Amino acid sequence: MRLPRARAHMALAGGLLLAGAAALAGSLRFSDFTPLPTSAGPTVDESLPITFGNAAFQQRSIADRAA
Amino acid sequence: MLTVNETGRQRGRFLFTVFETGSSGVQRQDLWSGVTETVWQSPCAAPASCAHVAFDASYWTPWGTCITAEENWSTAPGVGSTSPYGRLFELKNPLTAPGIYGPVTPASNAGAEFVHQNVIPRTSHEGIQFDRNGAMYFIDELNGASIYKYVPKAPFKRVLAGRADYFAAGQTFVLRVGDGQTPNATGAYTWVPLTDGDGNGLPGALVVTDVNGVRSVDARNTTDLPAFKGTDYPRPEDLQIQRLKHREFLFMAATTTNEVYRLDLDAQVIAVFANRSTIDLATGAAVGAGLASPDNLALDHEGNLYVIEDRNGGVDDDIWFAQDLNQDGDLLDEGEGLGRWASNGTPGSEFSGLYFDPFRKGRAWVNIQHPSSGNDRTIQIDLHDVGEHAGGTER
Repeated sequence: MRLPRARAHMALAGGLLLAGAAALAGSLRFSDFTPLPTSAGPTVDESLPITFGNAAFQQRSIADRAA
Repeated sequence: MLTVNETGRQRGRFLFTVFETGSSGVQRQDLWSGVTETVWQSPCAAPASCAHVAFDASYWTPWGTCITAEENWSTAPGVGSTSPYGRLFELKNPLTAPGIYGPVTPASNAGAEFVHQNVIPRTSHEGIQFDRNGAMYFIDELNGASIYKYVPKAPFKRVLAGRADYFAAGQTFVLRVGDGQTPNATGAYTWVPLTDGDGNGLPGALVVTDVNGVRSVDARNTTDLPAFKGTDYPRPEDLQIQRLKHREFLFMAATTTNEVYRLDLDAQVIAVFANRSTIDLATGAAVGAGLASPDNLALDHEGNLYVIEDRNGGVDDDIWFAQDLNQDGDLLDEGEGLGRWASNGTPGSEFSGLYFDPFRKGRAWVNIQHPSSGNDRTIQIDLHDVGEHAGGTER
């Protein structure tokens, strides 16, 4: 699988947002996140199970065994 | 694991995953319509000898088919195993195989061209990757097992053109560092053949006849023999190729020791890329026990590596982002380390198979597997502010 390659130049201090140097200004990337300090506890809604390091990351269940 | 159809006129339209159970199968989802179908299903359940079990790998081949393999093989020192499993399968018509509805019968799979590619020696499979020259890398998932490479006999260009069968014949090698006697060894490596160019076991290799009468080369037990000794690694799991400029690197997760290795495929050197001494970007201290059981690997559009754990959802099941700022193959430089990118809250479950859509930069998928509730899921991850579309079919 070929993927485009962009060089990332990141400035980091503990707890600050990690951001890739965007080829397109304003475009959110998967590398734009704040590292979570701990693992997530149990969820009550298994259709939304993931805690991300960026609230802008959206999740939805598209297939499940019970369906 | 997960893959889309990465080639062809409808590339990116269908999402494939597999069932890692005692009665395995292949699932296809039409991302345009949302229709999800099982397109191949094991005709019986383990322990029956006709069972197909523990499909884990799910990969699209460069020539446009879908492959999966059984994460199940047996250790039988000196004689080889007669287990029916450890096989690699190719679904040759993944886009047209009809959906299976109703009870599974012997005729249910009639429309699927699902082939056991027996030229690939038997292992407990997981990670499978192809390099730019067409060599296929795979592993044996066992604490103290090896890394393998298969090179097809047919010229790769002919395979890509549809004029040759990749798995018709080829040679398999095992990775060896030094004399192969040092577990978890790093440094320069060589590839030691265990088959000839047609896939037949070399003299002394263990060729077994399984309980179904199928004759195969037993990779695991052969490469424990002195003549074919491969270097043992602590439970190899997933593999992921990274291409940087004109060079290729192969990452390998090693679950038992909580490490990720990196192979320089051109220089033929293997080194540790990440371990529990790697800095946690959230704290500035070593990640320590926070990094546990790395299993799957994934690469995003920027070439960043993600490490997916096989741990306990709702307790400590995480996906780590590897920050290699200068892309020199280690995480030791200023500002480098591992950052906890996501964490799974479904009790009893594990993340499986994070996969970034090669045609849409703002989309990815991950499976939530083996939950206590029994309701396995595929989760789609979307970025709110999506960048440019990278060139697949789209609705």
